Amino acid sequence: MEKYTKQWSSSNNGGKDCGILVFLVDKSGSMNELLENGQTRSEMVASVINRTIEEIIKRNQQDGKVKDRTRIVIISYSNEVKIEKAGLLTDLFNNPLEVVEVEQKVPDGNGGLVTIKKKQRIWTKPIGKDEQGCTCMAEAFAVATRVLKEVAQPSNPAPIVINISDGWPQFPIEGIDYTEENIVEVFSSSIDLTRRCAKDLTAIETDDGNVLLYNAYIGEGEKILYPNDEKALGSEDIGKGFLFDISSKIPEPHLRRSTGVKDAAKGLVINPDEVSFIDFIDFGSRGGEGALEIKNK
Amino acid sequence: MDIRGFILPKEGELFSSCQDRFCVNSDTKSIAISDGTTSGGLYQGLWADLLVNNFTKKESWDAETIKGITIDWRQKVLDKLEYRKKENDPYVDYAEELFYTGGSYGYGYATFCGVKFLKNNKIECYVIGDSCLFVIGKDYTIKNIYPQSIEKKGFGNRPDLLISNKENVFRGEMQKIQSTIEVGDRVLLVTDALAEFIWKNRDKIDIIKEVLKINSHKKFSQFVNRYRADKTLHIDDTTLVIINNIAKQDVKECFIDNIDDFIDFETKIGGTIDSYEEIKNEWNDIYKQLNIGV
Repeated sequence: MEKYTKQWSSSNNGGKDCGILVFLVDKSGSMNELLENGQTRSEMVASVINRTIEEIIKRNQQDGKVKDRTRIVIISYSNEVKIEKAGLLTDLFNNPLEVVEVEQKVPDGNGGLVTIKKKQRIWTKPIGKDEQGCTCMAEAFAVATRVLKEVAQPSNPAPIVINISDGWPQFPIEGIDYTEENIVEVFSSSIDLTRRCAKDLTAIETDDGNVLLYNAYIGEGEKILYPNDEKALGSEDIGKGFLFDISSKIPEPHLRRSTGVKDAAKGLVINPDEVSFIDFIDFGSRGGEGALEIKNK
Repeated sequence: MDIRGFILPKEGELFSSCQDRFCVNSDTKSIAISDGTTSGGLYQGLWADLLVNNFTKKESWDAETIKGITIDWRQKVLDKLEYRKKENDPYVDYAEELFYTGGSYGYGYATFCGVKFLKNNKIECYVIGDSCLFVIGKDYTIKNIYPQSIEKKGFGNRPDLLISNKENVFRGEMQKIQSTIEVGDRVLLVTDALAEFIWKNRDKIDIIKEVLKINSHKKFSQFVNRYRADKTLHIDDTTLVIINNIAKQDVKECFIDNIDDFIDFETKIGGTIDSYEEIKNEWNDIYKQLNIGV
């Protein structure tokens, strides 16, 4: 069977055939920077992840009963790395962090109204306005590696990891302050370590293929979607080059089902607007599940 | 005309999860299959069921007819939701939320292929999506596949569909094809996974012969499971209807799976069913134990 074609399935109990989707979410202090729409970066990321999980649940239910076709893990990282939520879809459906219930009157189709309890489920929240912390991406990759080694079996579709961050990897070093003189050196060593951790993560494989690592950078600058050449990043920024390097190439079977994504494109978006960001998460999270449609922006 | 029809859910799943349906009506000489999308909507099996049943009963098959069926679907969904509420189904609230406020998630979606056998070996075929009709010649070659777009585009991931939304019943276009069948030709109606398998193996006469020979649910199940195991047949709900001796006036339904019987069996007994013969044997035992007799 061609790699990266296995569909997410609930046919085996215990999640042996289900898709595995890991979100790595940067919750460092800089994620409190405001976006043009007035949201913080962290609020926008949390909102998009929650909406995506809700969509995945809707796509994988039958007559309202949720099917365990996917295991989702949300790992956040700042000064420390936390597994915020992990489970098969029914676990997530039944145990969100919070449920906002709204009663809504809607037409019943026969000229009357019916009251419906509409639930908005929340699985990840943005960071508090005053929270601080650095970007321990390397450790997040290491935790994701550990989780995938535990749960991924040969029969699973290739797992997908979506890393969302507004900065470059750092780690807190006791006794060292970041200064203009040492910052490049400190970043370089952080990047080297993170690169090694990303390599370990993408070395994990199932019969369907290796782990796919996709990255979204939510910061400042030009919007770049699915580059297939590092030159397209247009700067000598070592951070962007690093993200380009560690991002997986979008596999050919996924490319075949998409439009507007070039051959050899990487699973990387830089400064997407909200619509492109939702498309990116949707693209990554659908994996082998079905048709992928990336619209030309 | 001799007709055999078989249905099988995805590997490891129950017939109650199966969203494929087919219907044979001897009186109208109409046969239809439909593949309800397996997730992302509501009561897709019910939608597929209503489509095949109505097609085989009704003379006309057009947008207005299908719009009428959406009203029936809606009422039946409301009845089912009401029943689930009474049964305290923990997922009924979510189903209701999707039905009323879920937008596109609140409808049923299905591909469809139906054929009416007319006088003088003429057929009228209606097809939308990747449920297919094959015309197989005496020499076991595939003379025609409908929709013909499969020849160019193959099988994709976003087939055209009939939608249980009165305001918009089509995604894509339903084709109407009129053709003549030659004496000795066989007709197959097949849902996507097996249709793709047959199309990919169209030059392998042994495989076409093997398909045409299937004459029991057990043999169908063995055939499907063998090719699922070697990963050449996608794991999906699978339906096959074989129509032989088309020139014969009287219609003989030789081996026709009844999915309602299967679901009934599962509900009462539990577990996955692999063969129709086993079901029948077990039912016979149950009846004997209960002294009902068959």
